Amino acid sequence: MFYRLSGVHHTRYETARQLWPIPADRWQVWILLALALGAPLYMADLYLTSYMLPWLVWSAAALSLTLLMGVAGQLHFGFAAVMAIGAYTSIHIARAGWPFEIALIGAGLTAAVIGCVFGAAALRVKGLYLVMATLAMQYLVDWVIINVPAISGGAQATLQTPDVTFLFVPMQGDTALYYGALLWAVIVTVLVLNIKRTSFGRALVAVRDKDYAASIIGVNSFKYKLLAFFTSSFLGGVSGAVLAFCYYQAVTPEQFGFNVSIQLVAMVLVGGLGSVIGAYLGAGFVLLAPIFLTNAMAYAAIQGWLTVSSNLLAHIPLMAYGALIIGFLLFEPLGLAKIYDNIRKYFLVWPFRHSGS
Amino acid sequence: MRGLFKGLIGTVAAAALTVTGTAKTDDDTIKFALLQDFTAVYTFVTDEYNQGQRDYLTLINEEGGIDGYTFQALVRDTGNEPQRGLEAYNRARREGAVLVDFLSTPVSRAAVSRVLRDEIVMITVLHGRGDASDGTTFPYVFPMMATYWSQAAVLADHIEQNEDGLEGKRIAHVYIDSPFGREPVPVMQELAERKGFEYRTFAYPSPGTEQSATWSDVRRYRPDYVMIWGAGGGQPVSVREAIRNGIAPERILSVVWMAETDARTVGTDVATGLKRFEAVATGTDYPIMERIMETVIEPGLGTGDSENVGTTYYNIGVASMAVSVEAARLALEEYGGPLTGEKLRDGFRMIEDYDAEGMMPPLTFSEEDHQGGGFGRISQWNGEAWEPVTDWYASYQDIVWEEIEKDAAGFREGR
Amino acid sequence: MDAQSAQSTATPETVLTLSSVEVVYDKVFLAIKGVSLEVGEGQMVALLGGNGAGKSTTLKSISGLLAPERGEVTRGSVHFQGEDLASLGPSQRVARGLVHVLEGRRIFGHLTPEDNLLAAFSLKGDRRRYQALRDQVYSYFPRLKERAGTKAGYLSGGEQQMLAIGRALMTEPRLLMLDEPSLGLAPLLVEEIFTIVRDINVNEGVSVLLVEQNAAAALEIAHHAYLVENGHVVMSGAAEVLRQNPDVQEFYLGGTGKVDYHNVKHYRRRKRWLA
Repeated sequence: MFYRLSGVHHTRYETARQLWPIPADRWQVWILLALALGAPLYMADLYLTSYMLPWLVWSAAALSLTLLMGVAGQLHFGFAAVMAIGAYTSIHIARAGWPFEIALIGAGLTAAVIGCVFGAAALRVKGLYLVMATLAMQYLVDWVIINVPAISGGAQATLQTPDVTFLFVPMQGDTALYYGALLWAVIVTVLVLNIKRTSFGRALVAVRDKDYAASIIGVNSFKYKLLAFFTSSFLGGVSGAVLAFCYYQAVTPEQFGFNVSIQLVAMVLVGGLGSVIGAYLGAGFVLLAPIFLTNAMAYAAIQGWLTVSSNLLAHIPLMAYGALIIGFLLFEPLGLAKIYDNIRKYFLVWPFRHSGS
Repeated sequence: MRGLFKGLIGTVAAAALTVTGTAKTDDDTIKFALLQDFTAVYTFVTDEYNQGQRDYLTLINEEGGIDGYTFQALVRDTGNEPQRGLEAYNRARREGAVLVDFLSTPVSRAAVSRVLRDEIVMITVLHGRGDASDGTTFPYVFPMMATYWSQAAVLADHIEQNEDGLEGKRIAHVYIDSPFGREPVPVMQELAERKGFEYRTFAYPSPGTEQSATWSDVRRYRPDYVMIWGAGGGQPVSVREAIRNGIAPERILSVVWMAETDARTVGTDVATGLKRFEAVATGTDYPIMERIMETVIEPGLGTGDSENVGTTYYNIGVASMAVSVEAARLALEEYGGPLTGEKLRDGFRMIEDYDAEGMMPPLTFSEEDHQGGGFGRISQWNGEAWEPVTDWYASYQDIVWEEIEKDAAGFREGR
Repeated sequence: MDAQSAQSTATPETVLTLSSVEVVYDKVFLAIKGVSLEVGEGQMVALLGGNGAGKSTTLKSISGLLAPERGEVTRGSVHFQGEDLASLGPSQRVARGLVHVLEGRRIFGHLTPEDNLLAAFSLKGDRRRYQALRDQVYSYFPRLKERAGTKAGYLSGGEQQMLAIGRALMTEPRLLMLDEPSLGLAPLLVEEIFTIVRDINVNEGVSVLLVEQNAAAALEIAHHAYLVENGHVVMSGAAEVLRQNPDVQEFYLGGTGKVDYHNVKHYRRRKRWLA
């Protein structure tokens, strides 16, 4: 219906190799982009600033992480620390009076370099041991931020973001900030989509699937693992800076704690490892499900449908949220992206049930 | 592929919009948003504190409100997460809240620039930034009670009174390794220099369930007094470790976060003699508390377990709302309704020597001072309850204000 | 061959019956399209076919291993000794006497051969039973006994295949399913292993379902054979009949020597064959 393949005949390699070879997919992307671009026109500012904006930034962060965890297969449980490095670097550069564009690039580079130092551990260790190495990064970065007042911003440990302009546009007001976040999300999305189909991306997948098999076909796994850490940390660092400037407008150490790292991993896993759409779905789920559940429960309580203590009332959404995650993963272990993919494939072969060999 | 989900979000958002409704039209209710952390870090205080706040608002409503206005509490859990706090804040703002209380330092910090922009009053009772006491820099933020700087000064002053001077004394400051734990350090250092006592800091790692290594260092230092600066589960651990390392309970002085439950966790007899800073009186022997018992609790209108009524944190909640309602009353008297954030702010600034009918030290706010004077007193655990051992007083406000000015200046420059 | 005829020809001594089994991977990819076959008591049946014909999928549908590969039986049924297997998990199927030796061996490389055998032995069995079974395995594969103490990962390919079969025997199977036991082995070893398989079949009375690429070797020891192409059974019959079939000879047994691939007639025949 939506995904009819009929009439789609690629007669040139260029058309067959484009990002979305099926017109229906292409249209869908354009429509979503149009919806996203027009959001400030039809969306109330509550939904724009409290839902859409953080969702876009967190999606960009989850995309950065999924490039590392999903595509290159390197586990990272300290990605919030990478974002923290980006956020703090950008804010200090901007406060020193440099342009915002430089602050963003500086954020990415600093995060990438420090991320690589810890990523170097990945060259020696795999799996759970890599989890330990990246956790160490999380705690080390947290400790440095908290204990060096020059970084955290003195006794209050809060740094307000200064007013900045991006490409001559002042980053003030909900709409400008929203478009800033959207632009970054689009850039990361296009980048990750394309990385996945270049030789770089294929090399990362080869290293993920079997690093020694990759090395015997001439893929330098040392180089590509390091490159994966570099790229992913760069994107993560800029995402942290965008989060600080476009959303929080103030940076405190708690915004990038260990629990945030776990949330990021959850976004990637619930969404579907290595999937671009999965990063969006996972970020949306992890970010918004608790909010929706809290509001729904509060509404039920106000209406008198639910008479429990405020303590229990606050915990019911947490239980529901946990149950939802387990439920989704039981239903489809490969994440939300796979559920979407199943639906898409169903329509691709519709009206038939299967594609035969 | 950007996903089908975006469309879905739109639909769900629209649904949520209709569900939560836009009930801000009823002009005779004043909405206070109590968007607090019921599930993560502040759980040790939130339940009782929030219960006290809501019970006090119920009391005011039962007594007919003020000036024909009644109060409504918008309560949400934020899980101590800035992004959930900001969502709840934006939602509450839509619903017409004029005052917000997050009871969470991370969320309050993230919200500072927004409340200043949106002109909504944020009370940061015993949390948040201490430099927000500077009303000129933070016109819409009210720390309302003694900041941690003031608390440290009050505690140091108490030692001075007890010992006839601080000269040559050794004070150990044992704190949770976080910005909150370190906050009083500059004030104490300044005092040490001025008064000629020895001061050393000892940090224990968060969350504070394991502190034995720190305390063996403290023992070697042989302090005359120990100040403990933590919150929640770490506090009874600190007290127990201090006593185990040979420090008499009378020589342990705690930050405001020390309640009945902590003393019971340590052991009611073991903890006897322990001292703490107190910002609001504990117990039910005060006119407001008696009225709450009579009008709210006994008819069954209370929001939680009636056992909690009169506990430390419950009373702090009551006091926070008593001050806020007083501010609303003054604002309505001066400007008339409907109440806005700006009017409420001015109401706060009009408060003079308000002591919540004896429950609190007399608070006075002004355009400059949003702390209210930095008063407190020392109370001591007598085996059954916290018993005040001093009168309300404030100390070394010059040093405290130096810190406030310094940090507030930093905030202004950063903007 | 459809379900009707499969059931009507079922005789009391039939161990395994597949009727019109259809398997779909990942909800959309149809891998086998209605395979029906049966294995008689004590029989050795070969399942032949080219790469990707659906042989391994057929075996997995019998042993219940489709789930990890996101596959499922969407139609048809698998009966083992008259019992429908649909609701049973892989380990329950083993308990009923159905064992699958996977392609590529999959032995536990960090355990010794002896431990591999012990791992496959039922927890409920007693020690004497274990020793008897182990000695039986060692009698078929004396080479394993020699290397009983080394890590299985260090065994040669042929030894590993022996261990995989021996391990399967520890479950006291009624039906032994072998997936490509000749994979990567020297012709001499293939012959040795096939001889042992036949001995097991004859001596222990275990039915065998053998999947093979090496059609010549398989048809030599099997009683009956099925030819699978493109997810369909395209031909079945007694092994010697199939061996004589000119098409089978041409496409699976190396032909008569000279084949002219430009010959249109040949092309047509191949096409008809696949239809």
